[in-house]
Amino acid sequence: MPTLREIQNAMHRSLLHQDNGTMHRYIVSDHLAAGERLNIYRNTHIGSLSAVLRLAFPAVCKLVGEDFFDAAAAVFIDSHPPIGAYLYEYGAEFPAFVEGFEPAAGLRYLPDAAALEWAVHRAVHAPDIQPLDRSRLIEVAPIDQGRIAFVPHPSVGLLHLAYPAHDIWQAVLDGDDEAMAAVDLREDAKWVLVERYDGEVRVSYLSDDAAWFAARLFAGKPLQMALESGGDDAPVYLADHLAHERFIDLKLLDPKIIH
Amino acid sequence: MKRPPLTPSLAARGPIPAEAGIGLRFQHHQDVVDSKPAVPWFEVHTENYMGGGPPLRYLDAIRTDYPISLHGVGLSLGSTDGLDPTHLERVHQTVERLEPGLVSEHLAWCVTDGVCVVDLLPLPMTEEALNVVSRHIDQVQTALKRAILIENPSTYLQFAHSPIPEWEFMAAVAQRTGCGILCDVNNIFVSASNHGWSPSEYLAALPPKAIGEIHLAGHSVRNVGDGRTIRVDDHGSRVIPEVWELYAEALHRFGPVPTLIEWDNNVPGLDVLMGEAAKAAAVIKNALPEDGHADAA
Repeated sequence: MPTLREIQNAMHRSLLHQDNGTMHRYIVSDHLAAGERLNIYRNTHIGSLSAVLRLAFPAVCKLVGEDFFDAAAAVFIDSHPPIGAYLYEYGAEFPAFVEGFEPAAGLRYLPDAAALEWAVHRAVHAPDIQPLDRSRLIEVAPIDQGRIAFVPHPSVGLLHLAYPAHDIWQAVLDGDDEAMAAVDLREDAKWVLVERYDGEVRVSYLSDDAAWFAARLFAGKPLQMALESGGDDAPVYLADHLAHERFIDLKLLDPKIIH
Repeated sequence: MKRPPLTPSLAARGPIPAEAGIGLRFQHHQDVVDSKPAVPWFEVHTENYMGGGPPLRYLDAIRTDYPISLHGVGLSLGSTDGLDPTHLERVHQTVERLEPGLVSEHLAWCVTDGVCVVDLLPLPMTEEALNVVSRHIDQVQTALKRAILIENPSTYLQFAHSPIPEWEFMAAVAQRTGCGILCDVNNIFVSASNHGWSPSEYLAALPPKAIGEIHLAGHSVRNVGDGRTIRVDDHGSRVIPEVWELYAEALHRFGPVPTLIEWDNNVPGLDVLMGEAAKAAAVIKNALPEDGHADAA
């Protein structure tokens, strides 16, 4: 008689790796074969996760069509089973998967569109966390301000997109064929900031200076290092980050680590 | 975590009424906020409101007008891995945040070795499984500081070694842990049809005092070739007449119980769901004693 652990391992091998050998012995085969019964669960698993991915990547799905998307999703799901039951976190590796997915190689902008959609999805579902109380900045002595490290809000994402994925995303979701036709794939690469502010997800472009500054702050680098890379307008960028509540905490880094 | 005291309106609202509620889906958020339909209560999937942002803002608005029940799908109560502490803490935070009238989960598992199959997988009905599930329900009830309800599953296979009838297993879980039972009448019908059980025998074995809620939903009959079929609980259609009959039988045994219309795939307009809820309300009314009040005994 198998233990529960043995049964659960065998069922996972069957459902996730199509290895039915052991599982067949554990269940009753009658007018339906064991494999047919197990397929019902396997199909629900794949169908549910495909639906999760379609919801997280609606523009990618529209760009390639539902059949193509589902076929790609099935390959992704096979190689990336979820590690938790909180499915808003499922799909983080999908943009990288799309980039390496040979059948979609003709759509060069697709990985960028997927990366943007994942950032938007994260921003939509990020937990509600109180922003940094700005009075805490004033409490830091001027001599220590350079070693402030900020903790970004979990909704904030910064992307460097080689293709105008934002324009494509907007046009596809709006069903605006004219805007889609006007997209120029030869445009320069752009920095895009994604965030949820005042309950709404916002996507905006950043200059190179602003992006370098933001990238350092979001990575928890010391403020001094960010200011040195942010150009003359760095103080303005900092004020903008604070005004839009992009940080939830700050700490003072050890001077020994900084230098 | 410190949280503000209950507002008078929340405190006065009380638990989920013994009336017919509706499973709330994202596509109906705006409609419910705008039109405030005559629905006695809503149930939501716990996992859909564990994040922040727009979904939670809608639910915050909706729960000022309606009692809310939280129905979880991801705790994997039957898993030999043990409970995922991160997921349990998220459930805990969500319960603290939303102050639901009822909290429920499934007699099922999905996680092994940290990897999740996205379905409610069946358990062999053994003493070992009973111990595992009971231990995990104890853990959840301790963490949440409240009793939860456990839902009977729809199943599509039977284990070769599964000596305890599912209805006895459900009753034993309730008896051991003090949890309530979420009696999914459609699931009883689906599993009974698939395995040749008697749905009436199933209902008769459940302890009436443990029944805290009933679920009703549609299911499909899948053709697997050569005229062979299996019933699959896909929540994508109306409740079928046989399940309405079984529901009436359930209420006859249990008395009026909060009842939910579930519809998770091919979700229709709110009016269709309200039509199904009205049918359930009529059955509940018939189950009331003649003075119109539920028998407290």
